[in-house]
Amino acid sequence: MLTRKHLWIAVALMIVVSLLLWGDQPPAASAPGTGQYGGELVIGYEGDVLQLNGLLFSSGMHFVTYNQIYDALFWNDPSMTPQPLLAEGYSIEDNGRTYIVRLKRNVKWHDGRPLTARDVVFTIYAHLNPKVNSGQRSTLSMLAGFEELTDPRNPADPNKLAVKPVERVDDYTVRFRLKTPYAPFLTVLALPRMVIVPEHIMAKEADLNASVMNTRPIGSGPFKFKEWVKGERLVLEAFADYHGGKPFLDRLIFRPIPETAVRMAELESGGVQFVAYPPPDSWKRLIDNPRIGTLHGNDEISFRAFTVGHVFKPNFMSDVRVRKAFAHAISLNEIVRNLNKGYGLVATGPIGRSHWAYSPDVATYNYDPSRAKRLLAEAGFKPGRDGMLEKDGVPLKIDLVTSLATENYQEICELVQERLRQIGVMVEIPVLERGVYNERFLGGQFHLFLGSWTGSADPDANFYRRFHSKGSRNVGTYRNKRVDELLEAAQSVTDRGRRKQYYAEFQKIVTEEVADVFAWHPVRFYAFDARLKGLKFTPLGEAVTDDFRRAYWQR
Amino acid sequence: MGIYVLRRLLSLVPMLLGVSIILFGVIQIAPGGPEMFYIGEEIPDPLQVEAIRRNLGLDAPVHIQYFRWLSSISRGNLGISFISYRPVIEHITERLAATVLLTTSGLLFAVIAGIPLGVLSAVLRYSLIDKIVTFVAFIGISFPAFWLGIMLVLVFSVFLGWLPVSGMSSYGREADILDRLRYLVLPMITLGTVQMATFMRYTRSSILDVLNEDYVRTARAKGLAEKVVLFRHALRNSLIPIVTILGLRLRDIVAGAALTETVFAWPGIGRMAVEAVFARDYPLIMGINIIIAVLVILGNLLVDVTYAWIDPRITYG
Repeated sequence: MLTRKHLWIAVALMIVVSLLLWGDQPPAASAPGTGQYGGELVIGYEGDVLQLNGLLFSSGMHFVTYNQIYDALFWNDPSMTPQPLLAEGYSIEDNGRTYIVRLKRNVKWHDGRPLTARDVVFTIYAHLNPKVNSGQRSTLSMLAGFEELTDPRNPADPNKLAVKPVERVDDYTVRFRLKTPYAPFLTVLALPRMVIVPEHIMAKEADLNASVMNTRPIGSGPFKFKEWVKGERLVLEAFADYHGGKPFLDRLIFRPIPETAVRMAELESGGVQFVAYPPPDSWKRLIDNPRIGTLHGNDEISFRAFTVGHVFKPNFMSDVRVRKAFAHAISLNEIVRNLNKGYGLVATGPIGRSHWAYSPDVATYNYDPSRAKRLLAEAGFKPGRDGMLEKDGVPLKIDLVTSLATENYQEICELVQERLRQIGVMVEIPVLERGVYNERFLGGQFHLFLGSWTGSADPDANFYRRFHSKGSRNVGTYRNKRVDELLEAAQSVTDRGRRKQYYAEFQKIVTEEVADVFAWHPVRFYAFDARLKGLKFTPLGEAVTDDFRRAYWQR
Repeated sequence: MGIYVLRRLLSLVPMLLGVSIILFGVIQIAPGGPEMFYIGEEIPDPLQVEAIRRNLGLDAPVHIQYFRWLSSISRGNLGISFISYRPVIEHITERLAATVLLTTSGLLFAVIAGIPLGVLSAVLRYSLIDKIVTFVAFIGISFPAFWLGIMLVLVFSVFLGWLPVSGMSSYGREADILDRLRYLVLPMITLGTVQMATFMRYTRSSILDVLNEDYVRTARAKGLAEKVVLFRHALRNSLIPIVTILGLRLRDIVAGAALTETVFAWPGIGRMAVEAVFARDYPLIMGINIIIAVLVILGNLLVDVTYAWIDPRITYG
């Protein structure tokens, strides 16, 4: 039985333990290596890793872990040009319908087996197999036989196809066949989530979703799996036989730290040594901190936009004058200068000035509230009794949907709410649970949607998916026949000059029609221990983290 | 007493059945589904959605899905996670110990700090110490746990550098108990502070009530020392309402653990539950909730049994 004496002993113990704790020093931050080789890097990131199967991509941060363990056939270099990785070279035949990819001969899996064409063929068929929960299936829709192979009710047997999408020519050569020419095909093979998985392990498994790779992956990337303490840390070790040479760092330790403020506290106190995408309000502090190194720059292949919902009821947005009015009423300079602390570039369209596909011949909209009011008056909106605009008794009240957890989107939306209120438009910013948010965002259930449109190495990824009437990210349900034709034409030719012409006309149309209120090109920001060297800035998040294979601790 | 406990344990079955039906229904009503985890932020291709839902067994009607789950759980199998494809029980056992450690130490901190401070406050009623303790209690009750957690991190980890910021152990020192304790201190205080303040206030008012009772006057009249009167007679009798609060607060502690675990990147079941809800991992959500329901019900049973231990007049038949 617990007596008073026991209680006092417990209290005394607590005090002693507390004193012991306060007297002790915090653990030293993982000691950087003394030479170029050696040392470990602790990476703090937001979400938990839920599984590590290379076929089953999930949330964004998984790229970072996946691309240390697995390699793809190609990778996008900092200039966004696909470069061979597992591949050694390639050739294009049959007017762009056939791609022959030659593989490197010295690539080993982490278990020592050689990587061959069998692995590549297996990986592609696994993505196309409807029994596999692959999220990458639709990105391979240009492959021959795609529809037959992916029908969930009656998938075709690959051996019975007249034209096979992928074939092993010999142990180190693979042939891809496409339905029609598709210029950005190599950038699809270079997607960070299009990694190659080992046939010799997975072909024996009855259910690839439940593969042993979910928890103990075998890849061909620069770091191999060591240990995974769920919810606490994932440890990878340098792979000595990596085809690109052994990485400098001995170990990468990934620590999930969901709370942003705590992640930043870990970085600044040395508990972690690399953080991607810190919040904008910390940027200046990080740059000024001599113990922290930063890499940051504009990502002109991605854009932030107030996406227009073309079908959401009541449908105020179908009138181009209303869309133009909103474009004039949203003060983009103010957002970039004040809320983004001067970082980022105000966008004039879906791609930045430094990109080859950029066209200066676009419609632009300066901040001009008087003009916005005139445009709304022309569209038939008049001030009601409360001074707010209405038409036929229906107030001009719009829903501005966004992911309030993203960067500083809540503040930005509140600023836009105020600016639109000043011209007589009522704006609601609904607070939504993630599932409801997804449903509304993907279903076009908004008048305006502040979103991040992350590009890929080829502009087709953002342009087609976002603005083609059948695009997989055309959430606003934008429809324009000419735009569809231009985007399809730009996919089918490899000549950059001709593609530029198609994209120039496309940019002119989408800006004149205000398909979206294009807002700004984002800043990519990475912060790390200043003694960590060898990292290079690239606009795509996955590319900078590929640099972990070249990162090292300064002597 | 034995029969009472047995009866209470048997009542677990209908209670859990009710919990599971409500939970299963609520999960189904929630928008989105686990297929979105695989598809990401793309407009879902209907064929792809159909394929993934079929693979996960979600193409069957809801009641069939529920009976499948029920038949599986009746055989002691909590199912397979939709995301990792590992057994749910494996997920839970990996993370339950961390949550149990956090919640019990949080509760212990609340009791060990809250009750003595409450007694002190009652004995020195209206003194400066009482006012300070009361003020601290109100602050403690009013602080949101996430804010308190972040403030503690800033002060003790970033500025003073005394304690680690987050996590549960240092890499390579997992077996070092002192290292683990250092990681435990801040989450324990964060989780326990609100409860501590509550216990303090209840102890104070409960002791004040008891101090006016006849038997306390009798004890004093007998010439017993004030310490004996206070601790042997007054405190023990005033513990009944406090134990009741303890039972009621178990639920809050478990809920609070989810938040504390998120702030401190503590690898517990609460944080896993949040991730499971976001990923719509139905079997994992069901499994975690059933286990938590069992723990809370058992905790309450323990509280009821404790009544009889504290107060011999209470018996269960």
